[in-house]
Amino acid sequence: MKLECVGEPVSWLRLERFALGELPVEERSRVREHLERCPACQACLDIIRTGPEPVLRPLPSPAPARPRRMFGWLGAAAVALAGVALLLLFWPAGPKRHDFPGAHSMVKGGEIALVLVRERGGAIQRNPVVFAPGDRFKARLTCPPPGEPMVELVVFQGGETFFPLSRQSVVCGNEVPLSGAFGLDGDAEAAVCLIVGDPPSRKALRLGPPMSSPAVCAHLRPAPSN
Amino acid sequence: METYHRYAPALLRKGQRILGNRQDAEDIVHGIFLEVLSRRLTSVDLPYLYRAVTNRCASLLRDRGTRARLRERYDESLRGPVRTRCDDMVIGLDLLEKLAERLGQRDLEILLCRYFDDLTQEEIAQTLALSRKTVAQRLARIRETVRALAAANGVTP
Repeated sequence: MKLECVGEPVSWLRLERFALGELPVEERSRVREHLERCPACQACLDIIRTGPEPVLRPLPSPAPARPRRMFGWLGAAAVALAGVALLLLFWPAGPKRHDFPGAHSMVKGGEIALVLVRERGGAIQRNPVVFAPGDRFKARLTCPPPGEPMVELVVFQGGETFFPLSRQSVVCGNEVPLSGAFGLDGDAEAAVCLIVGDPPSRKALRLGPPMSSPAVCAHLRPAPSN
Repeated sequence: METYHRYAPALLRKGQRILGNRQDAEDIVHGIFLEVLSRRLTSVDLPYLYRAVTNRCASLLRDRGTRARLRERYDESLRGPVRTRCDDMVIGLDLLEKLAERLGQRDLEILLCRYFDDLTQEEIAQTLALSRKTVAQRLARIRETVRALAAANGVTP
């Protein structure tokens, strides 16, 4: 069904907010004036107000937390001791995995999120978990607008720290791509972190993700060799 | 969850308007609210959630693996009334799929904002955190693509 609007149509978002009573007073009266002389926009508002209210399925519950396995305390202590010994033997120097934040983090005004996109032989994969030589990665940042923070992409791998992209500013929005692409190699797990806001010096970043600036990280492991 | 009951109908209408099917629209809305719950976001408003639906619809349309399913479930009546301007045209699923192949994610989001949500350039700029000038430039390019593809498909404004 095609309807002719008398001017610039009132967007659906604005109509929805008008119906919910969420528009500021001035904007509300502007919308009301337009509706009085525009049957097309009035028809759309009628659909929102009087159309069949969509019956929604109840929201599924988030996945329940896994129940803890019950050990005798002696067994648990033995497992913990063995774990500590293994960690001391094999864990590389530098920041540990639990030192890294996740791919999402709350900041003032909203949240920041990191999405990695891998290109391998023409195939694109979002949020990959493995890397192989020859892969190209792009990083995308979601951050609350308005804002134009400086960001630094840092790779922590096997006790070393790399800075594959230049430090750059990003105009905040939804999955804003960073300039440049990068690759990963080596046989150790890599934490790819985006430091957002006011990243400290690279010298300081070599010690691990900073506490002073928001950061989001993704973890990738090397692809098993054939 | 109060936010769900307040905003989900608006988001569902939006998803249906773009995808032309209820099931995928509802899955998208549920996915967004589950993420809101799992991230313990407390202050989400309708513009934020609207943007999330745009983003997810665009991703779904760009995914070739879902095309057949979208076509199978498509119900044109869910598109609702379309308000036209002199230079705009009604975009059906066929044309939208071709546009999704041709346009990048961000341009596809701009197209959905303009042609399906009737957002003004100012509103698109606010929603997607772009400058108004960038939105105008991108929209001009998008319109060219729409016209070219529509002409090739025999669709007229």
